[in-house]
Amino acid sequence: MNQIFEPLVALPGVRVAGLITEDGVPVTLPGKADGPGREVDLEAISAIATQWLGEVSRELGAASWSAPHSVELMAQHGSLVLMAVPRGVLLLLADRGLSVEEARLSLSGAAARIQRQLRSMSPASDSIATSSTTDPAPALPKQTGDSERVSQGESQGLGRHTQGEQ
Amino acid sequence: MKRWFSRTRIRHARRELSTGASPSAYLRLARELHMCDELDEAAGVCEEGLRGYPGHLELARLSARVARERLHDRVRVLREQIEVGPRPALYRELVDHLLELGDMPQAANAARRWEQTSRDPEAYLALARANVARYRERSVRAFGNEAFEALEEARRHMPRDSRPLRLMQALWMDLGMFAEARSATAELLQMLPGDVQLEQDFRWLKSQPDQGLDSSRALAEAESRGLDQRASVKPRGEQSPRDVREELRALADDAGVRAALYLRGSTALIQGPRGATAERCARAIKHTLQSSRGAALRLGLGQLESVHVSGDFGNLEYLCGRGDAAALWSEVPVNDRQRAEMADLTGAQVDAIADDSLEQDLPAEDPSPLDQAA
Repeated sequence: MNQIFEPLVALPGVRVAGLITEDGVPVTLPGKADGPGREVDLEAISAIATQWLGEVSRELGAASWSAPHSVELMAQHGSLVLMAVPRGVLLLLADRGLSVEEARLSLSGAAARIQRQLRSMSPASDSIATSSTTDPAPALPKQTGDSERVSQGESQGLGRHTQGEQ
Repeated sequence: MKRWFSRTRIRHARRELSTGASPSAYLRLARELHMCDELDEAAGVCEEGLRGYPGHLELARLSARVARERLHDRVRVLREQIEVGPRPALYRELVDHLLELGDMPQAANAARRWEQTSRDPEAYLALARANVARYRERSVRAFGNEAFEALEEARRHMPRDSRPLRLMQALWMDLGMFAEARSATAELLQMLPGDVQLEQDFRWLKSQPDQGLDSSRALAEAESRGLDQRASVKPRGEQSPRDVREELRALADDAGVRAALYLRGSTALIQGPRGATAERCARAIKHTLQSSRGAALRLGLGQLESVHVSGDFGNLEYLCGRGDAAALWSEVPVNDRQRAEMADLTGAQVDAIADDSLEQDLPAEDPSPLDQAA
């Protein structure tokens, strides 16, 4: 899985790129230190990112909108892009130098590679897009390999809508 | 050899522009000049191109990049001049440019050096401006306290100057400390009677309930939610009141657009949906904007500029101004012209309106769906 994200992290301007769970746990999140005092706290970034997309999903859900596929934020000193993949979220945090369009394109490419990798590993993973209504998803990802974490069948939307919120 | 090739490319680009003006021709020439470090001429070409083709995104981006590089060059020159022969005008320009570049720590350092070398009252104001800008960038409590201390110091050194008091009034408004902001506005109106912006501020502040916030609590709330940015921070003369509704209506009439919104403080103007749907839509969009502002600050990314959300509902895009924001909900991707119109909207003053099918006045203590779910 790391080989999918390392080229992204190597791009000028990218500080962190990788995969996190919907609960904010880093699955594979190569980041780079930018110098003394600018080391990247991957867990904090994952937590803040998932908190944000959870809030956005809930707030849009109150207007009867479905959970978003992707969210992008551009600010004075950089940008954050989040994109849904099966059972997880792709994250890219970049400095000002990288435009949001480039970030989105890079992440879309990574999403496509992940999907291909999953399909090649398990034909049954084509049912990922449907939401499971019988078995609830486990709270934490399993420890046995990255591919298994993202091959559990679940809705592809970012965030979760519990019954009654939509 | 490399320089010769560059000169040749510039010549070709000039010829192309002279035979037929187009955005791509302006862009080509400006890029070649930029690559040769001919920044002054590159800036002129961008300006000329934007006059003919306003809103062209790539020209605007290149223009902004060239402007930043020119500022960096000027900062370098000013620093050299200050080393040789410091004087207030040089320090003032240096602080202004560093603030414009968003380098608040360097701006504060320069202001502090100025104050140490000359005891000029303007140096205290410059230091206060740098501290306020740093606080607005990251609403950390400690920065807020330092900003207020610097402002008090500036007021002590220039008691009859309105500028430090204006900065304090704006901060109090953004923190929701309306009683303090009202007193400051009254004092400012004594200094500057008839000031239209101050009179508007005073009328607005009179209508706001006193939230009973002290500075500690206000700074603590701003640290978790971000500053509300109610106050206008543009100098007088740069804003003119206009009917934002017409501009929103034009956006909402575009193919695929479901709603166009303008948000300022607790007020949202919306075109597109009506009644309860409009209120739900405006509330969701306003809360999403607040969450995004908080996330940008917590991630250390500074002030929010834009947000894009896409899903089965379509595309939701925000552009943030200094004290306001424009938002568009569209079934199709938002295009550059729409973004330029949204950017044009932000920074506008909103006329008082009475049509409650268009204006959604969301109460200040409006609980978010998150609180409601809890």
